[in-house]
Amino acid sequence: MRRFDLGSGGSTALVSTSSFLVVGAILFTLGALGVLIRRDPLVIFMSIEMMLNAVNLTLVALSRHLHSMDGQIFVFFVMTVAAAEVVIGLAIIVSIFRTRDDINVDTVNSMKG
Amino acid sequence: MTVAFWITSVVAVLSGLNVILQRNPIYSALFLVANFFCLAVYYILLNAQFLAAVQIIVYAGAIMVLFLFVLTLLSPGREEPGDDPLSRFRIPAVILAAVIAAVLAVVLAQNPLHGVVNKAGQVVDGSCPIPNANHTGGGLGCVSTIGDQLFSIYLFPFEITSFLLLLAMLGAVVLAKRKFS
Repeated sequence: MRRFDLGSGGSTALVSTSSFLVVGAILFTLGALGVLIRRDPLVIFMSIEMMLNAVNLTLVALSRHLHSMDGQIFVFFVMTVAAAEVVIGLAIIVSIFRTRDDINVDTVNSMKG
Repeated sequence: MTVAFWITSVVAVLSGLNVILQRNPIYSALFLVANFFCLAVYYILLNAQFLAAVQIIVYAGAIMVLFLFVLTLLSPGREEPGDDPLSRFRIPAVILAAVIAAVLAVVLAQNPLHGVVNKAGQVVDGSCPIPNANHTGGGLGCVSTIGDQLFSIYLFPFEITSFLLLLAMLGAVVLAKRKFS
């Protein structure tokens, strides 16, 4: 694994890695809570985005901790996948709304076994 | 830097809470934009300037505009109704989230990642040594470093990503153009 230095200007009084991990954990928990208690699929999607962002923050923090670029490159790919996921998910939500005028996740249950 | 971190943390947690607690989805989306900006500030603090720019352009720009388009397209002013069939799940959901937070807190309290890198490039009170050779090109997070890695080691995943985006575009067009009876 190739290691990188922090470059100039980024080395004064750094915040510790654990602080960023704690913030990432808090944001991930908030996202999971949003997925559990909300019924609007759009808000559930936003909560999923928040969880993805919390994981991205963790990856970038560990990337700095290990002086490796791998975490940042991975965040780049996660952002791409999140964009594709949002496009497909919102298209599905719009098509559900066009067929039944109601997108409450409790009433959309026709595929339930 | 520490002051910036704490201010950003307060804003990030409050905006995250508001995303899941606001009843109007438009407000949730706007608070999510604030949350994304906080993450961009974190990326700058973490020496990931390119990712901070991408975060603002892709997430706060493109993805949230898409969200707001769909929100206004579906039914403007729509709020969740007062009677809540999921209300019996709320308490277990809060308990589950508390358990997740407790597990994460325990894991974070036990791990050895308390190291901070000082100006001389040494880890103070940490576990990860830094090699002092092979520092060619830009530093961590520079655009040149990202491009260097992306087009050499990660070239194949990068190309797969282009295929993924093409498929997502095709899928969205197919889903949008379908005729409903």
